[in-house]
Amino acid sequence: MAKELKELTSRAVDYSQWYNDLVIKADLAESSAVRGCMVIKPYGYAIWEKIQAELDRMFKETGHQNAYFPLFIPKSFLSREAEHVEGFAKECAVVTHHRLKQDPNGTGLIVDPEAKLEEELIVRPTSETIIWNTYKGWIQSYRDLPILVNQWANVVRGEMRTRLFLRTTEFLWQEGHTAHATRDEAIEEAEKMLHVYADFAENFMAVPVLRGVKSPNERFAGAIETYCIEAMMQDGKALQAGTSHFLGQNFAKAFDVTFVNKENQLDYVWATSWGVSTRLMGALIMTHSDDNGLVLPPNLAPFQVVIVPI
Amino acid sequence: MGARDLENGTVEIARRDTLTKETVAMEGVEQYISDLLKEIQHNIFKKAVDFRTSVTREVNSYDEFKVEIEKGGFLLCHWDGTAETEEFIKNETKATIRCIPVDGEVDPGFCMVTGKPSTRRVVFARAY
Repeated sequence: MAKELKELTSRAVDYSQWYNDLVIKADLAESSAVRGCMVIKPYGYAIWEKIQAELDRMFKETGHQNAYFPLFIPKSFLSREAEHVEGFAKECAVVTHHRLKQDPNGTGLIVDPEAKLEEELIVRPTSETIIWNTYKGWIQSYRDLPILVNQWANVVRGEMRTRLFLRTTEFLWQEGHTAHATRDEAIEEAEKMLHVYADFAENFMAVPVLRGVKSPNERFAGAIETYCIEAMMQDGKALQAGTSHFLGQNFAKAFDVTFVNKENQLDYVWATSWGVSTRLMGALIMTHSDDNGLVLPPNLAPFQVVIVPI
Repeated sequence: MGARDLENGTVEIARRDTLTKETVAMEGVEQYISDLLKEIQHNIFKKAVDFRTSVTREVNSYDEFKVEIEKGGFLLCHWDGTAETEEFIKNETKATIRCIPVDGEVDPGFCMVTGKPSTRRVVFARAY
């Protein structure tokens, strides 16, 4: 059902309603038939593609390569890292069967009880576990390091209250997962990506951000240190726009990823992960737009100039 | 652009960020617009920085904090570094520590809740 909004609710009246009206009226995204999941419409997606293109360029310029890992993760993988499982268990979508069949008592489809999976699969909320399980096969010696990989993907995290772009059950993002021979090198990588994110936010999105680290309470589940960029929205609320994690040897230990170092000794591999998501769209909209509607920075605008013949 | 603009060799340019209009010569308009786009990029960033500056302030007591947090923005406060104090503040005010800045000056003081020593101010806010 297409609904034409005559005008936006003003920011002073109801900021939250203003945001929602704007996303709809600017034709960026809409709610879908699936609870908590949004449809990103072509104009919204065009902005996201510009965000992607620039970030992808910046990742490659800093030595990273793209790869792709499975959407599904065996349930047992998640529990390998104690803090990680605690942080994500309550948000996971679980696949239990692999087939439907005709309901013998009716006309609809039912889950085929015969098709129960031996081990349940979770839909990735983030990919540290499947990736570190994979890295075990890639890394034997310090010569195999560093691994500097990024993945563009969708992830799913159950959310109670969702808002277009800001918090949706399924969202698009990139997740970098790097493996290093030394602690210092991994910390350097996590910090480097923090600065890549901050540069992107400020120079392309024109969104000023604070660079910092999270308190232990707010850290990523399984991280030793979480670096973050924080933006300020026009209603006085903060928005976490990107995070970069120094994971220590936690995932290497959980997935038994060891390597022979230069001193010919066996050691666990050091890790980082870092990500930004379609949440950036929310930050972009809320930072610049006004009561007349969307304001975009020229660097990310799909249309920079419109010619109006009178 | 209209018939009169064509006659005069001009074009009227409206900016989305400032909502201002001006008439410029058609000749050299490509360069003018290219510069203007850079100017808009710069201007909206500056506007956002100025806004952030206007809602960022130091708060020294917890009583003051409870009043200020209602107004929004970033509050720079001393915190004793414990999860308990952070949790207490979150439960009472819905504010969380957004980050412990990695740059900027170190300014020792005392936690606004417990009075214990703190090495630097951290950034509190309510968040999305």
